[in-house]
Amino acid sequence: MKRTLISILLTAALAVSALAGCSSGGGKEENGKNASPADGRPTVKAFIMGGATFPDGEDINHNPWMTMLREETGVDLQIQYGPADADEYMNKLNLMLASGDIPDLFIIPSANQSWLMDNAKLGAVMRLDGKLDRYANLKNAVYPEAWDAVTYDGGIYGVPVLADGNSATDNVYIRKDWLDKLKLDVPKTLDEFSKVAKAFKEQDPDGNGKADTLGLIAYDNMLAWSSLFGAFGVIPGYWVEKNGTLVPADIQPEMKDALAYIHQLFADKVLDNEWPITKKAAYEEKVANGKAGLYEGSWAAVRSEIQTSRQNDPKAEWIAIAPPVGPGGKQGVFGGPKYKSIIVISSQAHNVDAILKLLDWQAVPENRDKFVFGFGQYGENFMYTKKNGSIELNFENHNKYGYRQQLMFMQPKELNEQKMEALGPQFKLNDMIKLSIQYGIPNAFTGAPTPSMVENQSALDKLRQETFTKIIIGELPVSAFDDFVASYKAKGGDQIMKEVADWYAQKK
Amino acid sequence: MRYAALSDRIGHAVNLVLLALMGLVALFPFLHVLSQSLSSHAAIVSGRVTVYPVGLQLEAYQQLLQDRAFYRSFGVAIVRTVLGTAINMTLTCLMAYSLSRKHLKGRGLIMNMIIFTMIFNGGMIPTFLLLKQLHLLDTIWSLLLPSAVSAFNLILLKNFFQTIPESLAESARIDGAGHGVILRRLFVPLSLPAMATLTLFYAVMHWNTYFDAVMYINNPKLLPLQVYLRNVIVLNDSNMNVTDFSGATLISPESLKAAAIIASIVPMIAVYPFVQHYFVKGVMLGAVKE
Repeated sequence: MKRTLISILLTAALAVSALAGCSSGGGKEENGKNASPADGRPTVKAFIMGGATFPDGEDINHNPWMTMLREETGVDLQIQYGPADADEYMNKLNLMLASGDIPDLFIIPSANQSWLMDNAKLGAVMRLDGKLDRYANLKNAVYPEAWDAVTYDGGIYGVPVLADGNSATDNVYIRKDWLDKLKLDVPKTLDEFSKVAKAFKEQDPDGNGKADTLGLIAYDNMLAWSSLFGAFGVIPGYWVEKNGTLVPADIQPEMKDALAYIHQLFADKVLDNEWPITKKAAYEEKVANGKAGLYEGSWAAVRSEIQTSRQNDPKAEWIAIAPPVGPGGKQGVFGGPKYKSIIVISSQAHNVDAILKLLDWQAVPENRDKFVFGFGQYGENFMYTKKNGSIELNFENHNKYGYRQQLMFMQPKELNEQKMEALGPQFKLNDMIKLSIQYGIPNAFTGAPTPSMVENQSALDKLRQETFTKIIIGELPVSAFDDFVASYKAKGGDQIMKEVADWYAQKK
Repeated sequence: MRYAALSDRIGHAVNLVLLALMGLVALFPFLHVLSQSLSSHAAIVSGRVTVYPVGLQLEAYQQLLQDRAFYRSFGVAIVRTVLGTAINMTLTCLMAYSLSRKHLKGRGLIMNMIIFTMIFNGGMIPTFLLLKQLHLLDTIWSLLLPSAVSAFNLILLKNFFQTIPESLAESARIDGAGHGVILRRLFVPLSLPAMATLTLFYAVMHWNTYFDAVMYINNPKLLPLQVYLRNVIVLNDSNMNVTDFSGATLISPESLKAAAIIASIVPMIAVYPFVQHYFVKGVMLGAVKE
């Protein structure tokens, strides 16, 4: 009997001692948290994605750029530095909202539009229209159509932020030295492209006596070789305007033509037959190690895989060219969205004006430059040097203080040409960006996902990926496209089209 | 006999080859990551690195070892692993011992409650709220206490304790030993293999977990190594602008990632041989004559 009692007591004691551990750990934490300056400046708590490293003695809240930002704007910005991974960041944001520990300001990646809509509906997010009018710089930094993406029920619930390279996406690149060697001209039309690709594959352009070069390369993400689709005016997954309304490019007759053409490239072995199982890294590897001489890559490729290709083979001369012109006279690559992330203000935030003032200040190109090129002692001869009238970034400090670019919440609409130039004039990044934007075929639907998109779009995307892949590799005949259109419509496509048509009619 | 020996030898040879192959399959990823960490950017991006370094460079390790955040997170990871495992083992032993005593009243009920937690749990948001209310957020305790006892490991150890003959405990009691002495002087030494296994389970769990730290810790000084590692890997993958690392540098983000991965698995590899020693020890032999 007595022993039983002891056992029970022992178990109980265990529980108590565990609890005691809790409370003793808690005391310390509370003291450190409520430290805020008492100089009367409005405090703004921001929660942003983290991950950057800091030089000794600095952190996200204590560094030259934060000091400058607080002085210039008169806002006491306090940052909570979140996870580096987008999904984990969103998880933690949800936890913070649920626990009542709500940041005034947070920046969500653009893929979370439906999250924004849900929270706008719940009233967790501040409605901003009407409040923005006084902030001209802020408004000017956003493309008009980008507001569509953050509009819920007629109200604006966030500030869309542009990417560094504006809306640039891909370019088509070709090895000029291979063209010269085989005495070919720069291809312009789709047919010239496939002739060049065939020559690159069969006529040993690298001159090593082995048939080890490839024609056209591709990988499992069809958007990454969109120029072949663009020649027919259709981009997989995008919406196009037709007869006064919007329709999905995926089910247009032009898409069938595009697939028939690409299938022929595959059958003629001009298109790399490994493409459905190739990942991005392996795709870029083929460029870097001199196996491919014609491909579609990011506007920044000149600083990554193309740069490596040049390092491996000094003779490699890459040029960016216009995408192929198709039989109907169309050409283009997939156009980028006019935003990469969304600044959201909590409906609980007290200092809305302070937040908007801060963002407005950041939306001025000269203020952006303070983050890119530094300022004062962190500016000239530290972050950059002037050489023959042009600016060159000091990469050691540029990378060491890389975190400073995370403090730049806004991105003005004007492309930062000086920065692109400073990253290395030999790369001609500004030209790359302009070329890509020039040929970008935009997605005509710029709104937030409609209810049935949230429900069905991912299943439809999967169906598209499977069907298109099978058609291209010949596992299904091209005529299977018609069955695809029927089941696309049946599996929610019709409803989505109706909702998008309504949205478009309303917008007009 | 000779024929038997011959077939024996063939059998051995086949075994040897198969096992060696399996070993190589397990070893390959390690060698690949190791050689990536030592290779030049151009070689990695061109896909020329397999199991030996191409274009040898040590800059990735240099840069890693210069980063103060690396040491700090390494320290946090070690504190977490040592302290956490100590808490785990203490609590698990005490609880397993109590629950292995057949005369404990309500034993079945307590066991069912424990098993219940294996199947159902509160989910992420309620757990977060609980930790917040307990003021554990942003302390090392938020990494240690929620996982203080693993139900699975507890049941393992309880079952192991139950295999120790009752008569041993009885004989100790005749000599005047209480529960504390029985647990400390008899059960723990007799179940060293089980203890070693559980210690390893717990230690590896603490060393490898990053998700709780990502959710519960805001103070960057308290982030353990796995979070640092994840930041190194994720950041270069997606978060920063593509223009932010310069194509001109000699170190590839790939080799930095690989170097961080290697540095984080070295301690676990170093501990393994010492713990493995206990796995093979049979302490129970000859303790009881029946």
